[in-house]
Amino acid sequence: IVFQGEGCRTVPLSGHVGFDSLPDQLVNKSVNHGFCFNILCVGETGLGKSTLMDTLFNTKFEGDPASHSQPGVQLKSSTYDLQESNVNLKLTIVSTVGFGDQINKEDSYKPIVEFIDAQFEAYLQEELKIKRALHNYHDTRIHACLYFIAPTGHSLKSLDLVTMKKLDSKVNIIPIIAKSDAISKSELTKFKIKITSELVSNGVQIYQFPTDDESVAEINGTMNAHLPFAVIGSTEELKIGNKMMKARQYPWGTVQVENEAHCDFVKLREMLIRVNMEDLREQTHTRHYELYRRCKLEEMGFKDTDPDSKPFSLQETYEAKRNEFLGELQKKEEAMRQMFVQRVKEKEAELKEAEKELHEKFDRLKKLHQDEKKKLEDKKKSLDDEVNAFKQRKTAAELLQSQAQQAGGSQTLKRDKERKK
Amino acid sequence: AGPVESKNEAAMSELVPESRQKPVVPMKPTGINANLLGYIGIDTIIEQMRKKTMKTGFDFNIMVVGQSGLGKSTLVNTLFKSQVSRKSSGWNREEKIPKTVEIKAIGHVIEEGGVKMKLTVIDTPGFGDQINNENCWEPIEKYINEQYEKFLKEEVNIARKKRIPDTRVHCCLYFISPTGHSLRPLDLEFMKHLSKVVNIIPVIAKADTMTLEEKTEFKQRVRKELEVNGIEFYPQKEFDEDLEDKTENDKIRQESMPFAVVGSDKEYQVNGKRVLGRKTPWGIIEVENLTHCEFALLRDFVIRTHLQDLKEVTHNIHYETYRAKRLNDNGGLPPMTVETEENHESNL
Repeated sequence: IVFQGEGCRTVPLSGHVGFDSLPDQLVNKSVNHGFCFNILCVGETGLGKSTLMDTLFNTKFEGDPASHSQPGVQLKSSTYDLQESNVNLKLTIVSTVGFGDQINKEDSYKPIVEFIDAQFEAYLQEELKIKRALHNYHDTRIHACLYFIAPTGHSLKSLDLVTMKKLDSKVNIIPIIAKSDAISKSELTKFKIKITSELVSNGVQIYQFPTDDESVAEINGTMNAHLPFAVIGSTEELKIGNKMMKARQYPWGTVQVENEAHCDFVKLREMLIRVNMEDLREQTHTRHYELYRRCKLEEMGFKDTDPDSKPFSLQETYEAKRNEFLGELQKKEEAMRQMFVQRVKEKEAELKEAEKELHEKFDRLKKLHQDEKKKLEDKKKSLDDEVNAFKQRKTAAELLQSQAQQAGGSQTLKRDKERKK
Repeated sequence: AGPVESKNEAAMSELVPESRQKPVVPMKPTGINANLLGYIGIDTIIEQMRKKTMKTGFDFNIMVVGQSGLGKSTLVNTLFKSQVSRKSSGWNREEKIPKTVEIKAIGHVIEEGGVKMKLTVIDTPGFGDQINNENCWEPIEKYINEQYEKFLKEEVNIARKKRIPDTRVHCCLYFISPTGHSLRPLDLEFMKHLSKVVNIIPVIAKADTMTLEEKTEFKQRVRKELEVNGIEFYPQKEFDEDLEDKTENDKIRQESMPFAVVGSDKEYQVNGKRVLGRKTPWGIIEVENLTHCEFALLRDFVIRTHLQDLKEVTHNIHYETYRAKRLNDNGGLPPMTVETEENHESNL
């Protein structure tokens, strides 16, 4: 086999070929297939997670506010189908419930980590299957984690640091300052600087908006400097000037959500959805998921071999998978066989029934026939009897008549004699 | 928005039964002001995705199979408007006819409209050229499976590359000799074996030797023969994704294919325009003229509308079939349990 792979030369085209439509072909296929995006909101109860999601996606997602008396941290997940122009988005929003409410918060981060890992695990399992359907797989891996920081104005809470440290290698973390209308502008600047320095000194890796593509490098670079975003959420619309705007009204003024001078909501929406949604998905798949997969497989005792021998790492897994697959096949076979046997039995029973009915019918008919026959014979007999009786009477009558005639003659004579007497 | 919505809704309801009712999202206003109340910006993902794919570039691997002299290299060069395939000038005295089919894969990078494509043309000299051509498709089938194997090995690694190099054959152009009668046994055998592992697009080569009526009849006969022999060429009926695909593809399958093509890399002046063509004493055959031959149909089909689909069918179906079979077979992945570390035998 002759192969000139690496280092191929570029050849010029002498005319229009048409493969510049490739990106369109690819995009069209993706649009037909639909997209999915999964956001995880981590934050204490009451920080406005649900409201922010409603504001970001411009809808009222269902759900009642959570109480503060949850015994442990739970995660609540809901999926929605959104559509804009010709794009169909399957949006999944996962929120922590009861985060930060417990007295002892040592294990608070655990359910979150477990949830994220569970989504990776589900994907990995699908990827390892023998007969897999990755093309149609509903991806539930978390693409972005919005970490809600309470607007204390001072610094991060230790719970925040611990949690973010546990999550930074598993998910793209975008820290945001929630309910930031509680902080004044000057306090906000100091707060942001404090948070950023704490994150750095604790080695927490938050998501950096990518700056390698020239078209977005500038805006992403600027935005990176504004992290964490100070946001306000509101689904109430108020009339300001002559337009309806999302806002929160206070006695001392109105905070406009989409006013960049008031808060960073627009920046968040821009970064999260309009510029980097695809990159968030890609980073989740190529970085976080790969890391999980590598760790998991190494944990299971596999390793890639040196270049000499071929990789044997996953042989055992695949043996197990194969057995599982064969087992399933056998089960299916069994089920089908059972069904077949069942059907045959049913059919036999049906046929027996039919046969029985036929026999019964035959018997009935036979009986009917016999009855009829007997009736006829009886009738015939009675008729014969009648005929015989009639004959007898006839002969008797004839006899009588001839006797009577004789007697009649003698009778008349007798009567005449009587009269003569 | 209507049909897309309902199809996706049906698809969604299969996957996630617990999906809620769609919250009402106002449509994007037609004005450019994206900050109007109501617009979220979800549809920008299309642009984001497009930018990403432009950056990463594309791979495309096309294989040409057919007897010598059917114009394979010329056709590929005409398709991609560049010298991506080296024409063999027949077997001269120094070059011997190869005893078996050789596989020659040559890659080039071509760029158009900001889109970079690494095009690999896989030639198969020697196919059908021997006296005894029994099993001459085997080296080809082996090559195709080897590419699947390569990809599988990469995919199975613990530490994987971000982008696995794709050498799998996305499309195989099979050249049918324009005899005008019917398919040859070799054609049928090849296509029967290979249509199960790769996307085959049959083309009638050197179609300038047939009149229009002969062409139509020949095509009908070929289609019938393929159907009778159970050969599913690309686009395969079973992979039509939706009604739209099916209608479009049905038309191609039942009327246009196999494409009767003529290739040329020479230009001539016709009606004041420079066109690619073949000059004969009785006229100039214009390659890109639809009344002369179906080259333009083939080009549009392979490159302008179905290129991405060819790759996806290869990846989602042919590759998955290979993988499932491979993992199911006794022995699983190549080697070896710890005990037999000494025998490093390739299972390929």
